Amino acid sequence: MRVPEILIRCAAVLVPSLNREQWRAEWMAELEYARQRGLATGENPHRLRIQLAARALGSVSDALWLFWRHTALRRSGVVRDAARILWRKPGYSAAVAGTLALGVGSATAIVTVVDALLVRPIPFREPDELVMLSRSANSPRPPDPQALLEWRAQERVFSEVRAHAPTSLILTGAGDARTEPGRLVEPGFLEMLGIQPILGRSLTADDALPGNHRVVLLGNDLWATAFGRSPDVVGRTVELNGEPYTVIGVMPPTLRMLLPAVVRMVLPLPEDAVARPVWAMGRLQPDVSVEMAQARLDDVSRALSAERPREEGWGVTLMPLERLTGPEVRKGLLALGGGVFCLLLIACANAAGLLLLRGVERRRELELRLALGASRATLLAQVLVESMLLAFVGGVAGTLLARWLVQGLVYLLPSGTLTFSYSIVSIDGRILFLALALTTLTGLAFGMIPAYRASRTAVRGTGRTSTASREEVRLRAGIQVGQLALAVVLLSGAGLFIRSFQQILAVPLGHDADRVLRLDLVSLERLRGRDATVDFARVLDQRLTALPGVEVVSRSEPGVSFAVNYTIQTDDGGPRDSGADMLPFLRVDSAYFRTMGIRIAEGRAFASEDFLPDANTVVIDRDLANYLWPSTPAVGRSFRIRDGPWLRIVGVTEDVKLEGPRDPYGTYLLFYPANQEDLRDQIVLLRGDGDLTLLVSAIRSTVRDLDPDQPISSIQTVRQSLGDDLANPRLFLVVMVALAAAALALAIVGVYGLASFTVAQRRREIGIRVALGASSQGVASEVVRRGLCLALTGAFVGVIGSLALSRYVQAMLFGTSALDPAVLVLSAITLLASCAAALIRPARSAAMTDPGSVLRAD
Amino acid sequence: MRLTLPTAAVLAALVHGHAYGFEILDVTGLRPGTVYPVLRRMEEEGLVRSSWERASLARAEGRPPRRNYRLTAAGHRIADAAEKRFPTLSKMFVASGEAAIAKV
Repeated sequence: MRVPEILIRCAAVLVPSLNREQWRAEWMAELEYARQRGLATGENPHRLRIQLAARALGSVSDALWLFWRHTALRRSGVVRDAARILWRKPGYSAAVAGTLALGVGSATAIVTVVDALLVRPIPFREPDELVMLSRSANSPRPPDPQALLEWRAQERVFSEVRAHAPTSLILTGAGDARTEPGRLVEPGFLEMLGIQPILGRSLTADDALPGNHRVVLLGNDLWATAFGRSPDVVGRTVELNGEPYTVIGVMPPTLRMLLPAVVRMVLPLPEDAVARPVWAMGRLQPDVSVEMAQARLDDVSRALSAERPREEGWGVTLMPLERLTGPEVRKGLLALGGGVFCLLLIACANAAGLLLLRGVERRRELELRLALGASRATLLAQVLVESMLLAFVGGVAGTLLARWLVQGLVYLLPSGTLTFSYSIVSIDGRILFLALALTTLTGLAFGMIPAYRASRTAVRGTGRTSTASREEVRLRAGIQVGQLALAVVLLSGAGLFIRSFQQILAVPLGHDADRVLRLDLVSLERLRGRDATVDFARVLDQRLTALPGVEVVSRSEPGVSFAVNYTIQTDDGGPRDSGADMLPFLRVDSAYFRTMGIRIAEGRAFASEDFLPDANTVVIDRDLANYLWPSTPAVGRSFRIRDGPWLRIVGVTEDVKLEGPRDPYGTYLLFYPANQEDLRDQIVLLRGDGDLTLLVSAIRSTVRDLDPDQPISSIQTVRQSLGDDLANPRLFLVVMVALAAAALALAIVGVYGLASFTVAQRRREIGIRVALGASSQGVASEVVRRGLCLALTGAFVGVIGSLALSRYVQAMLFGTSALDPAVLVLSAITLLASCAAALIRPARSAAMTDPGSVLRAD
Repeated sequence: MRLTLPTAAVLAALVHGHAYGFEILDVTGLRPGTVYPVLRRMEEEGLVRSSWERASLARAEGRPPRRNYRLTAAGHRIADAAEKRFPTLSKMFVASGEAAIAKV
């Protein structure tokens, strides 16, 4: 059977049975006639099929119209009645609609964000062909210039390779003077990505020639904030680093998240700059996969190593753009997706439970109306319309909720997470539709079951009571257990994340992150020259030291650098392969260890003699010392990296985690001495003895007094500057806890609803038992016992479920086992305690049953 | 029966001899969800009468018989009123080269 015929047969179900055959015959005949006529006139068969399917779709609206016209729906004002009935039960209506809204809203929001981050294609032309060229396989590292030249020449692999580099420039003359992050790109880079300016022109080869480089493409954000989206900005001159630059165009919003940093403007990368290490991105030839390309480049680098051996090697790692979302974020988002699915199921289960409850409650009313002559179709239609109204209200509220949640989640995401994704995450219609469909179906199915049963019972003439059938009770209990089990899964997930976060926070950093302020200044050396910068640094450090509350001031590089692909040779033997491919090191001044509160375990900190030109002394951390000399003291020993100078160890620090508790760059650390002149444009660290926040304004005014034009990037405690390392765990923690709280709240509503319902159902029986001498305590405890029995079953199933899911969660945890018994037990206890609390009111209501009034009412 | 523009268009199509559902869809450009309810309502109110094509005729062409709709006398009166209210509708059929069918 063809699609149009299937459509017509499906639609025919809606047509009243009296007219159905004729209706179907008419539509079938018209379709067949149209088909024959189309074929006879030489219509394209494919187009004809589409036309006929479109025509057949019209049969659905025809059938719907007939359904509406010939059921009692239209005349009985059923929609108005349904709305009135729901209005009179505000608690019930709000609970069902709210539950559905929560389900639809949270599911849509989280899935939208997950989709935008992990699934949706990158907004560049043929993103599958784009790769980042990196020196290291573990994290993106810029390739070295010589190797880059070789790779550019690989025409069998790449259709093009373009270099780019981060930059930041001081923008003056458009509001307050400030630094703006930008990106220097080789001409052709934007075209390679498939990005065209929305105003003006792109960069050309001429722009990269020396002397022509003072042109800038504004990012969409910068255009909006600094230039009010003025259309005549092209051709205007802006001052960057004190030099005039001509605005040649404005970029589309997609550029905002172009690279692992915010990009507010794009400038030409000068031709000669390619000789320094710069980042590179390439477009693979259309028929070359990433694996094939990698294999070919590996061959090339082996050949090059044999021909022209170099210490740093010729290797390159290709990183497809879509893999640049960190593995931690990916796993975390998948877990959150699972959590949201659980919540959606719980919401559906809860709505189903409430609908069943209400349906059973209304059974008597429906039976009475049937007895008085209402048609079965009218009653079913009314319940259908009620369920649809609730689903509609829940759906609208859920859609609004989803919009807010998406904005909230994007705000909570760690900066840089949206790399290469759409800058504005908008709600995905398909996901919203799916969530709406699921909740609406739940509403319809569970709203109709009791009504359908009521109408059948009445037809058979056997229904006299309004109690639930055994199957309904079982169904309701089954739903309840499932809901509680899912709540335990989410609770234990949240518990594990809390434990993991506690573990991260409990890691000793080896330095006083909370007692040290870090001042990041924008280097003005390019504008003012070296001597002025050295003077500025010297005077600034003196004045900062003199501030009340400041104990000591020092300077260091802003973050660790790395020795890559290194081997270490020690004074007592052969070379050692470290096992890690990066050795982090930091250049610091003499006061650094005192300022940071880093304890020297053996030997000493840097002294003045270490800063002499050929001193070649270093301080290493305990991990590196233990690795190099596991059994003997390291102080006084020497080692060298590759063919570098021999470095004498003067001190060993306790274990230090400079980049955050989880040591993202490995556990070894090496400190080089650097005199203040070398660190003139690096960060300033201040150790204070009181409330550090009071120092901030004093530091600002000190800098301003010294040089009013010196921009300050940031002043924050060292702990705050570690924020990025904690951002992901914190986000997952917040969202998981929110999910678990929502799940627990829904579970409590469910338990309360079921218990109240059961008590209402059994009121007569309870009344008789009380009349026969049962104590009210006994009656109440039975209600609690039944409720807790379900809760226990749910908790048990939930714990089993958590155990089954543990291996998926383990990868996201730090220092915590996904099978942590304390967390599982605590989750189960939390659920049981919440359930017990939810049972108090129904139990009390049962205990207070007055047998006289119940029996009279009966 | 309210004399809306779609109703008037369907009436005009019937006046001009377009007797089958899909034909009316084609000449009026209206959607099935509009034309069929109008036809069904008009039939309920006695403005049109439907009948089935002769089976032998349809069989000869290798297809099932189609249902056609004809205006009744009351239908023609309403069609006249519709033509007065929407005079351009009728011209549309004449202008598009359709043969005007004499009213019965």
